[in-house]
Amino acid sequence: MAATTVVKTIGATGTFSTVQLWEDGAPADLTTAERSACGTFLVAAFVQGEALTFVGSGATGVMLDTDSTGPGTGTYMTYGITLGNPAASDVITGTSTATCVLTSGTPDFTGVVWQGQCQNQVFTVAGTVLTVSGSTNSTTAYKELTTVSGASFRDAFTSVPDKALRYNTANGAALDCTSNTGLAVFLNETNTVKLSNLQVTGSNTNGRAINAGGVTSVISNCIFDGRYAVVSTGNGVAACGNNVTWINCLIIQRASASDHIFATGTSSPTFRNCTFVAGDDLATAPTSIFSSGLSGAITAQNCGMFAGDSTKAIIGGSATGAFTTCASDISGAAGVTQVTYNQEFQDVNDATGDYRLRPGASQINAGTVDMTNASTDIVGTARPKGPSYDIGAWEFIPGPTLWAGGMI
Amino acid sequence: MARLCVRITKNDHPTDPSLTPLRTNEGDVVCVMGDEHVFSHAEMNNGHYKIVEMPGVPPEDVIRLMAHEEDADGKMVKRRKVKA
Repeated sequence: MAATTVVKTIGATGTFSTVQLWEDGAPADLTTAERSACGTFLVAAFVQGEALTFVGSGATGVMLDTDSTGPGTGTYMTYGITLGNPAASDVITGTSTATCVLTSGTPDFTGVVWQGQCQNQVFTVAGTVLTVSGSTNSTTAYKELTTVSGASFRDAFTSVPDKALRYNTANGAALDCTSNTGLAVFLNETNTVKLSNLQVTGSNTNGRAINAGGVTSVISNCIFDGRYAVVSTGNGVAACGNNVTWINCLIIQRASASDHIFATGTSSPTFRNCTFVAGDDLATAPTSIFSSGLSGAITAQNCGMFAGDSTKAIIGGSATGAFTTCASDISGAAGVTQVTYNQEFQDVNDATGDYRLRPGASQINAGTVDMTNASTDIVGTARPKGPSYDIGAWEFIPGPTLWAGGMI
Repeated sequence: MARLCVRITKNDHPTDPSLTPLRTNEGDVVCVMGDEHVFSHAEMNNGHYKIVEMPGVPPEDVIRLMAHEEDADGKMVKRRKVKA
C-alpha cells in the first residue's frame, strides 16, 4: 500500500518552530503509520503530536495530521501507532479531549513520508541544529527535510539568476550551527533520510555542516559550508557514515590548512554532479578532497573537486575511487581531468566565492548524460544545456552574458 | 536567557528497543533556544514538552544538554548524555 506524505511547515509561523522539534514530532515507526477515513469529529480540535487512544480496540498512537479543523469537520486522520491495531468504529480520543470515529479498519495509506518544509529564515543554534535518529524507516516511509515553496536559495536563482552561488542567507532558508567544532546536521538513521534545497553551515571554528547516514539516504540540491580543519576520517565539512547518495551539492571548505573537505570514513558514497571546493586564496589548501578510513569505495560521476593546490590529493586514506567524467585541479586519478581552478568558476576566493561555471570553463559539456540522477542542476536548470551535462552542481547556460555595463 | 524545551513524556520505540536510546525521552532537552524564540501552538499544547526558562543564562552555556553520546567509532549510542 502506498505511503502518504505529511507536510509540516517549520519556522516562525510554522506548525513547528524548530527543525529539531519537527524531527521529534515524527512517528517512531514511519512504516506502520497510517492514514484512515474518520468521521464524527467532536468536542475539540486535535493537536499536532498529542497522544491518542483508540477506544474499542485499545490501540494507542500519536496524532500526525488531519483535515479536521475542529468539531463537525474532517474526513481522515493520520497517526503513528504505538500499541495494537486500530479497528473500525474505534473512537479516537486525544489528550486534548477531541474525538472522532474510525470509519474503517483498513487504512487508506500505510507508511508516512514525514516532510518538514523550512520557511525562509536562518535556523541558528549554538549546537547541533538537527539530529535525525531513532525511527524505523524505509525507502518509501522516511523523514524528509526541505523548504517551503519559494523559500530555498534555488528559488532566489529562479527569480534573479545573476547572483553568486555560495552560502548566503539572503538567498534562502539556512541552518547554522554557531558552536566551535559544532555539527549542524546529523542524520543518524539506518535506512533513509532525505534532505534538499537547504543551505547548511558550521560557521564557527572547525564547524561542520553535515554528517549523513542511511544506506538509501539522498542529499540533493544543497550548499554545505564549513570550517573543519582537523585530521579525521569520520568528520569533515560534510561526511557520511553509510552509502549515502549526494546529488547536485556544493560543498565548501572555508578553513585554511584543513586536512580535507569531505570525510567518507569506511562508507561507500555516491556523488552525482557535486562540486567540492576550498577557496583558492586560503593560505594553505586542504591536504585532500576526501578523507577515508581503511576501506570504502567512492563513486563519483560529473563531479568537480578543487583544493586550490594541484599538489594535493583527491583521496586521503585507503578508499578506492571510481570517477567518471570528473574534473579537478589535482591530477593522477583515472576518470578525472585536470583543469585550472581559477578558470572554471566566476570567483574562487574564499570570502567572495561564486561557484557558477564561467564561460569557457573546461567542465562545460564535459560530463556524462544521466537523466536518472540529475536532470536538473543545483538551482533547477534543466540539463543538459548543450551536447552533454556539465561537470559539477551548476549547469552553464550558454548565450549572452549580462554584465553590469549591459549585454555583451 | 536560554529557553529549554524538555520532553516530559516517555518516547520509547514501540517495537524496536534498540532504537529507544536514540530517541529523546522523558527528561531530555529536545532543543535550547534564546529568549526571542517563540514555540508553536502545537509544541506548547501537545502534552509532550515543558519550556524551562533560565534568566541570565545564555543558550551556549547549556547547549551541552543536547549533546549525544558516541562510542569509540563515533557512532551515536545515546541521544542525550545527560537529563535536564
